[in-house]
Amino acid sequence: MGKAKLEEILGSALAGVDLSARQSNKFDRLLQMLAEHWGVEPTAIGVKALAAAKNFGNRISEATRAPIDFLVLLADEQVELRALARSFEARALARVPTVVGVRRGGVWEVDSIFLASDADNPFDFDGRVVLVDSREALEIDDRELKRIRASVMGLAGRPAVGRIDALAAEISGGQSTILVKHTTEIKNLANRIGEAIGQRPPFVLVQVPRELIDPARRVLEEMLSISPKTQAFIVSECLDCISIDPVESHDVPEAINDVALKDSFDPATLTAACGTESDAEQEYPGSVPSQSGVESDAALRYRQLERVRQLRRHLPLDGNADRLYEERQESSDRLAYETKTLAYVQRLLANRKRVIVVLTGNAGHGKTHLCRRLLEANGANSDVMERLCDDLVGGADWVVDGATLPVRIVKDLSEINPPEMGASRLEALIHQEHAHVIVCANEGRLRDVVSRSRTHLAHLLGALERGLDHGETSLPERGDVHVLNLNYQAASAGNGGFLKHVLDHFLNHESAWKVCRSCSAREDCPMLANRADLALSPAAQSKNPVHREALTELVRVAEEGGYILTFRETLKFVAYLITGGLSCSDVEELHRRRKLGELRAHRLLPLLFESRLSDDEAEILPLLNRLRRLDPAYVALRPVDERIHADLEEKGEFGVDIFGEASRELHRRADLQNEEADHREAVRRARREAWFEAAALTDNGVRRVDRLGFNYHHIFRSLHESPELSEVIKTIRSLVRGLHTIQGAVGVDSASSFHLVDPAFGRSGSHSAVIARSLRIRDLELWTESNWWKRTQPSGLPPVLEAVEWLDRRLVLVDSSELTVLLTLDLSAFEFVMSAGNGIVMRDFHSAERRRILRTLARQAELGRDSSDEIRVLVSRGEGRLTVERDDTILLERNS
Amino acid sequence: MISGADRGRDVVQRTFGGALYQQGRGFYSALEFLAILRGEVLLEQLEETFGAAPDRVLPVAGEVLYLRTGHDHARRLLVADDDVVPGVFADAETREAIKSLLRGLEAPVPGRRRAPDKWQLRHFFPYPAEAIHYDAVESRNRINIERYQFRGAGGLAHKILRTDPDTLRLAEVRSRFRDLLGDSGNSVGKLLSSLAKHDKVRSAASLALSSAEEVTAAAFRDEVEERSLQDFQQDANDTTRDMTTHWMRLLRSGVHRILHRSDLSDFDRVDDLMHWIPWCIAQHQLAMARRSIGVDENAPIVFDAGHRASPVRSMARKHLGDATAVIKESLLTTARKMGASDLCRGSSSWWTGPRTFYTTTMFAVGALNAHTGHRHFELRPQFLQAAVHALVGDPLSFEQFTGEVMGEQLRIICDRESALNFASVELDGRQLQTNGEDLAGRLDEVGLLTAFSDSTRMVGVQA
Repeated sequence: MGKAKLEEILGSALAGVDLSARQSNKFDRLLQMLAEHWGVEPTAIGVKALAAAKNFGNRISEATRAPIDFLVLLADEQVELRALARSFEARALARVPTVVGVRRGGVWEVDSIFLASDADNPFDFDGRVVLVDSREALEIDDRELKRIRASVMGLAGRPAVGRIDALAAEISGGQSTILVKHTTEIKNLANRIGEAIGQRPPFVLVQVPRELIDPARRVLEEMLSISPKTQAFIVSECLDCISIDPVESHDVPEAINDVALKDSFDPATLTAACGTESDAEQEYPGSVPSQSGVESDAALRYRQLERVRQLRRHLPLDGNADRLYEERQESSDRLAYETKTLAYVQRLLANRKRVIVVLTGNAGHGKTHLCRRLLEANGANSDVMERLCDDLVGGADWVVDGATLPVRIVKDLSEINPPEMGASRLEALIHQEHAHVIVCANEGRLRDVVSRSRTHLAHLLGALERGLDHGETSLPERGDVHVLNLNYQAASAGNGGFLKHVLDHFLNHESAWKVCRSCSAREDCPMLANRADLALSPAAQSKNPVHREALTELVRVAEEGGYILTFRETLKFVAYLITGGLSCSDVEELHRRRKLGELRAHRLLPLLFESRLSDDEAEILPLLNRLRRLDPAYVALRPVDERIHADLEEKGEFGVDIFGEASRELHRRADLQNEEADHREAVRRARREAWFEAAALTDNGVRRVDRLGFNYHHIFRSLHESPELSEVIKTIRSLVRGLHTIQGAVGVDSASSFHLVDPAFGRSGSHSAVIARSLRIRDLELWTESNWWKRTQPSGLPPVLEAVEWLDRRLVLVDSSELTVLLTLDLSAFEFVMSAGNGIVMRDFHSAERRRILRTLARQAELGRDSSDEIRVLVSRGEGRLTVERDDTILLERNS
Repeated sequence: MISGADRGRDVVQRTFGGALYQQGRGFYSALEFLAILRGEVLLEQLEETFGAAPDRVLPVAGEVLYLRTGHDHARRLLVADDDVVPGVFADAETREAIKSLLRGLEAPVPGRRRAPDKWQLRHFFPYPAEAIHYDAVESRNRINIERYQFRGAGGLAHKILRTDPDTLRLAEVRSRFRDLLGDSGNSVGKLLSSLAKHDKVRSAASLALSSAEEVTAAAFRDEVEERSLQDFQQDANDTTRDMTTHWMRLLRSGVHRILHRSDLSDFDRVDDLMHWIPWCIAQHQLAMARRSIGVDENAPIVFDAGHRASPVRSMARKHLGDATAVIKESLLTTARKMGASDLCRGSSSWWTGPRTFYTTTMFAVGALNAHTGHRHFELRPQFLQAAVHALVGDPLSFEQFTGEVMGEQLRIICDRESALNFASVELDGRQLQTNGEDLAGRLDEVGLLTAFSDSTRMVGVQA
């Protein structure tokens, strides 16, 4: 009866279905019908089509990757049951009740059922049942177990060359007592481990890259319950050596407490392998006799900190950075941070008229997060993420708290492919009138999509450009379309902004870190030290506010220099800054091997300024490259360096004085060079520390930001805070002097006039040129970008300032006589021009800025049409006037 | 009796539709082109003062007439130690100051290590318009305005533009050239005008003429320009062959776009024309050469954008060798068809000139790595800038740019996307991809590419 019903379902749901077709939804109908029939959710059923026998195992692994209750395998021809049984046997995870259906002559039949030998038959029919045995573990005596375990552990520290198979075979003497599995991808992890544990071998070695150690540990801990006697080890490479990480089952403490397996290592300290004091924080004993001869090694206790695991889930250096992406988070997972943008969008949606809101900017600013917050505000919706992800084209009408109309949301324009389709969808959404629309689009994608339908979508780019020029979010003629460019958002805005929030969230809670107090590595743990430097808790050091200020200022300087730091990168940055990419296991490993130098290299300052990442890894966190340009180690300031030298000499850190008498004892050039290198390194380290510990203005008159290599940052910043008029005028004069130098106009009057050199001389390297146009310095004004917008906007506050966490990053040089913008300068350009004004022209370092400035000035110069007969020139480091007399003779008069 | 040199010139004219010689290489074609146009604008203005209103700029039909300025006084000053014309400068300091200023206005001569000693070989960069001048020579202490470096490549470009079948576009181009090449009236312009008053050879514009007819009579009648293309088209044996190439169309549309961009200063506009016009003429030369020997005239060329030796660079070197071989072969083939087989056996000087024109022009515009030595096609910043300004209106994604602009329009293979336009490319995808990334880096350096965090890169957005 049950079999006939099942065959009816197969026949009905699979009529006309080509099993080999690459359609992801071809089994949807079958899943629905089976779910109803068996009374389970469709997600609890796996369906796979079988073809070649060699791929049976892969199909089973794919289907059982997520936990399921039933598996249905379908084939167009008779299945080799023996091969299928072998595949099942080899997979511990795959012991789910399985139905095998075969299409014969166009009619579907249930061919057989596969069941684990110790499981009940959940189907209401028998038919041909194949019982899959769990393989019995190979029986070996305790002595052999001890020997093999000790040998496996003894692999730790050996040079890592290739795979571990040969070493394992050597240890087991050719017996199949050790099963080795390799994987480099997280998606295959569960299958590979399942395959291994399913065979119930005495020993399993899982070789994974370092970044997969934690996920592998989790999977092994769960699966060992299937084969409690199996001893599992994670094998990875650490500093070119083999690292061995024993894994014990969570669920079966008896297995761990099996003294027969453990007594050779440290029976006395086997206390709390499972069920430690809180969360997942664990302590476990040292498991390998120390090679270093330190007596206390056997008594070492190491801790695993949940907070570190959380931080590492924000760092995509290993495969499990799930906290970085909104789509993979539960509603409860999020960092609660209120942004201005959310409130601004809510206000727009409360408009009676229909509005189109385009949220643009770089990937990672939190556009998806914002949509989710909007939908879930005041409990209007719950668990929206899945539905939001399914609704790629914004077809659903959402009810949003406070919105006057239903809201349609395109979560990510990049997901509508090809871009032409994105353009036509965008057009359709703009043309409909019955719902508000929110479109999230990375700026690049938005420009690309608009370029496919410029006629209909150009106003979107118009609004985007208007934001750049006027701080507005919409065009006057299209008041219903708002483009919010989140690239204006700053992570270090205001009093530290999002950066401060993230640091506080991860570091300030003492209880989250208290387990470290009993960790043997606490004295040398870089993560604990980094936390101790930056936490703002009652128990924290008194210097920590200074450290925080220094770090925030560093990031702000990068942002003022034009770097766009997204919220996602801020999370990665903080996670990296605290952990250095290490896990507690890594710290344990290094500590056990007394690699204290390596541990120190993961302290805050080396992480900030020294490259420890590969090229690929560095792409994940480009901020570090930008910060490295600001490394205080390479900035020589006499007051700072004199003090550093005095301190270092006092501490005796210099070794031999390379400039003194003692250096004569260094006969070999190499010795002297080594000594110099040590000397240099000590000074660099001390400069960084001095920067990190410095208050904003020291008694020597050196500002902290000066130590980052900026000589004029304090002026740049002061212009953002109600400066004195005299200061502004002084700065304008310095800028004019710099702009003259950049144009090659040396030796001209910069006190009263700003000269624009004729662009015809732009390619010439000489200092002779014709002045195309001159502006009076008294007509020049210098504004911050936001103040300039405020000045030119009759309606008051520019909308951009209300819409994002704003940080003024640019200054605007304005000709007030014509109210035109002559030049905009970010921090980098400002520093370049001011330095040029003081005689230092870094043409190559600032080549991009120089080119931009010259092009802008060329356009301004061409606006000038001098009607006078005099030709003003710059020659031989001076200014003069060429006069053409009536008899056509030419006379040069030098200005006095 | 017609000499071998004259017959060689005929062969070159028939093959390429213009006199493309080594002397007219590099920027000289653009300088010649702008000198002709500036002369037309001046003639038109002068005739207007006498009430006549003929269209002299890029005339569709009729004679090509224009005024010629030599700037011999200013150019002689560049190499002189003393006054060229006594009494012009009030004192030596003034003279030295003027010389210093004039040196800042010189046009670059790519491939030359030091400035030439002869003033005839020194030219001013054609900005502002008053700096534009025609060629001049001096012999036996007498100066004549005549062709020296200007051998007809600029005339060919002029001919191509004025025969644009898109009359609306032609009208717009004329209008913009009138604005760009009229007197700027700025200080540099005033200075150059003042110096021109002391030229030995005075332009008709400065002569005391009393009627439009006198002006027209005094204008220069450019027979070489008029001969451009016409001889080729009139060749009775080749009536089935079309003179039009892809590059003529590109020259017209590119010039139009450069003139109409609102984001460029006039200086940038002139700079772009200085690169775009020679590039199109050189590619037109290659296309005609290929056509004359039956090779696909639009076959792509591989361009290197990297900073190291690579298979792409090797292929770019091979393609350069192929291109120069095709130019030579086409001339020899045409000579045989014209019954001048003896030219093929004699001196090579008549065909090496056109071949050198191609390579040195490509180097000048930034499409070749070096002037001499091991050379290959390369995409250098100055050429990329001109190409983007000439062909990219609204910003394009990088992939669109390489596929549609570099591949389809410029027939350049520089990455995977551009290679998709062509059936077979003997390079594997990874090498092309690396080259494409290097190209993106070069565009970024000159501020023509903006990279966004979602991996979208747009070309044409001003950074």
